Amino acid sequence: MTDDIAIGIDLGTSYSCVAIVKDGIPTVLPNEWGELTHASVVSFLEDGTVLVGNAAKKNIITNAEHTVYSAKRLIGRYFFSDEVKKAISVMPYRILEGENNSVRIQVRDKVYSLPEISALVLKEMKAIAETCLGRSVSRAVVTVPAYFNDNQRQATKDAGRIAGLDVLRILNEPTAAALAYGFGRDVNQKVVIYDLGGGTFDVSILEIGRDVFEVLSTAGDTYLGGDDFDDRIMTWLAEDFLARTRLDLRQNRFCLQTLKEAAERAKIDVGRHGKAEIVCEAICQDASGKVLDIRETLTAEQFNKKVMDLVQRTFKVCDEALQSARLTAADIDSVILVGGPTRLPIVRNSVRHYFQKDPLEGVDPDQVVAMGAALQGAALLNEKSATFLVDVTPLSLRIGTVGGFTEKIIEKNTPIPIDRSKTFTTGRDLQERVRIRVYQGESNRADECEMLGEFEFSGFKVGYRGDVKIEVTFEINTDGIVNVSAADLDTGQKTSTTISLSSGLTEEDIQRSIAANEATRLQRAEAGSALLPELPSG
Amino acid sequence: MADPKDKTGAAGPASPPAVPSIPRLTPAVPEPVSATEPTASPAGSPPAPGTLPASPAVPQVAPVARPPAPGRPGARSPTGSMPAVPPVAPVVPPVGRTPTGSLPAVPPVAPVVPPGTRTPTGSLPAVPPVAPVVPPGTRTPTGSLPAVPPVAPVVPPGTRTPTGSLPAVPPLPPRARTGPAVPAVPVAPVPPAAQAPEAASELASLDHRHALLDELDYFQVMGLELTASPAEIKLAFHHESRTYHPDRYFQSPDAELRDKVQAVYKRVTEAYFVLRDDARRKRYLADITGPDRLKKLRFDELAEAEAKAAVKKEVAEQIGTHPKGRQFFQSAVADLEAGRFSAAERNIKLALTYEPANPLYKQKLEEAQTKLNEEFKRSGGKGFRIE
Repeated sequence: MTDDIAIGIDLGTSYSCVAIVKDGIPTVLPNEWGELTHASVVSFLEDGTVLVGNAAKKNIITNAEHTVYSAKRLIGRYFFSDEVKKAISVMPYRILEGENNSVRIQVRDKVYSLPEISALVLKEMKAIAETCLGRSVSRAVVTVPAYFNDNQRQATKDAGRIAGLDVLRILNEPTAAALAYGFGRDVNQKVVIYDLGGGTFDVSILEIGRDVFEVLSTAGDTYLGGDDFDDRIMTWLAEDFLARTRLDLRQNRFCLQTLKEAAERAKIDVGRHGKAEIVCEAICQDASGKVLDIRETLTAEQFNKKVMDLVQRTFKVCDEALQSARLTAADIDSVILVGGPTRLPIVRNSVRHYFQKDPLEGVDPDQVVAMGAALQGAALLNEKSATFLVDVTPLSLRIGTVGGFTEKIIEKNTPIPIDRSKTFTTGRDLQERVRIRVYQGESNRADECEMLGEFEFSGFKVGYRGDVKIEVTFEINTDGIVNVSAADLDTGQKTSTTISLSSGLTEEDIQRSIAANEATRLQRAEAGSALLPELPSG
Repeated sequence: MADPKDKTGAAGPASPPAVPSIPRLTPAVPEPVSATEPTASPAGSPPAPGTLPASPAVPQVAPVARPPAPGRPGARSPTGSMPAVPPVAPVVPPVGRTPTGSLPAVPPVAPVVPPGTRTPTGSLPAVPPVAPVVPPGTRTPTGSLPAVPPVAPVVPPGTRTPTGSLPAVPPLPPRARTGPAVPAVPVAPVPPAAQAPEAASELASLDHRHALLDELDYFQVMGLELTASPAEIKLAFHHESRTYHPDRYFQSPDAELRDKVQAVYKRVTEAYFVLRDDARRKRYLADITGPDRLKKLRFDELAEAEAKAAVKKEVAEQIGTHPKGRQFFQSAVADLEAGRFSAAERNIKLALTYEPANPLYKQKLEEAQTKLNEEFKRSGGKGFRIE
């Protein structure tokens, strides 16, 4: 290995983690207080300083309006998407609409894009690594859920740049986990990675052939995660409270946050001890000024009943992945669980039942992804890199056609990198430009797919309609990011491409953000003020 | 890559085949973590510097090894490292890395071997001389571990086997089909014993492949026979991944090289995607064995689907989708041919009442009307006409 190092960052919905490879062994780096996972929360204080991590998490209640969490749920999404609509009704911070349907977050008179928020988390991870290693770090491999689309990957990559990191690779979380498991183990197996994070669920099936990690298929649900389990408990508490007192706690953001926190703790306690005592003292006052508490007991049975349908949903996704890989559950050699919620007995048992196999023990579901990312980083920097990841694209790439329909260009679960070319022609005489819309998704209808962007080509030979032939090449690179280029088939000339990614940041935006980000003071919280990291859910 | 090498193998003595395959293997082998390194180095990775120190053991070994070595074609290189191994060694030869030469004994061997095994001559001559020199420097790797020798032999066979099998299969058929260009390139570079040469050969074969990319069908890209089994396809894909995965060249300062690797590897994934699916593979096989082979080297499901849809649409238009419309249209066409233009116009208009959107009908109507007009003019306006 050269003296270059690259850190691996698991940028989670709720918690993040950073690791590095030392002497061939991936190690998770702790912060000053020995915490190995860090809440993906950014809190903006009144004096202009910014807190990130477990210390910031405390502020979700006290400084709710200026504390941003679960940004990963919003990154790379359009303002009109369901996820954003839901967030607007639930999140205590202000979500605004930016240019081109993008999402912006307003905190204390300043408006941030989501990559800028995530950049602050990444910057904290970088700082943790630098403090721990005593040297500067500039390169990183950052993980994303396998089911992230191009917009989300691009936005995550932008976040890395804004944080001052050279992002060597955007790696899929399940793939990273498989790498951490199979690295140097000389196994030939088919493994399933069941990755239930804080906000997303992914399942990937890999075939490990010694040093080649081939992803056979991947499937996921970007709307399903540990947070949804919390929601169930929250809803139960709130409804119950509503029935007793006729007060709806969900109307008040402060109460809502308190509830959320209590729900998360209850979920963890139920998982650990089979029973949880929920106590929220003085959560609110009624009209007469009487202070009300919540005191409840949640048993494992009650909990299981509330979340069973969520767990079942994950197996629909597993079915899909197995089917794409043309395997059955019996073909699987190992099952690896990733993500905090997989610590819940109900999840473990259901997985065991579904695959008829005990999930692997000894894999830390919170750290394995960061370790895999670190391994990949080391492999990339090492000339004789010894592992070869062959990932797949999780979603079909499509182009828009007339009438609001789309046509498939690259099918989902195609190994990447890959490219496909398609020849287009002009529809009018003397047409000077051609416009192509690119989508990702599994539907024929454009409005049911995610639009990645609009590409406009010009600079080709002008002629009669149908005479001009433009070959457009769609490429998905090893990051899972889509590139488009075009050439005039007659003249062989490369035509110019204008890309207007609807939600992406322009290069200018990024440069501006980088400058702004450098100026932001990251305040490392004082010792002792940090929360203990408990069962991170992402 | 596989192809070229294989070819070489075919041409020369038995052992050579192994050699070609080695280069690719090399990358894979090193993989094992530090502990494994010793093993790895013998296999193919020249670099393994860490191992070097151990050399002392080697000398003894060398003498022993030698004798057997000469006999076997492949023996020459690996031999040094393993006394016991000799038998195995022959297999190993590919590795060539024979730093083993390190041993004094080597010189004799080397000369012998080259003639036999190393047909590629150019490379061979170089080797023998090197051997003596090398010993001090190179030796370390081999000598490095007494223990290693045994290991080394073991590993290569294991690893290689998979490859061995593949290459054998693929090279021949593809070559034959492809033609001359392929074989030439690979051969020359491969032979060199040293790692550098290995790398060079790899590069050369990469260049070669890149240049030919658009002329190879997927089987050739993967180095497979048309009859390859799914397991062979998978194995070949893993093999190609070890050789051409862009991550191997991630740090390379040579942007052109990286682009080439990307291009080749993208084609490999594309080939794999098609070949691993039985239905697609069948259709692709039909494509490339058909008359339009050159146009269909790259499988395009979309184009196929489009072409099919277009044909279907055309047929539908020709005949029309409504039985009555079809009937009127047919008689209109007959009228038109017979020169009964006004009858044709009437019939088409009737057909259009059933299928007002059919473009073919509209076109025919226009045609009939123009003809009718011409006729009207020609007759000097004397003809009978209903507007």
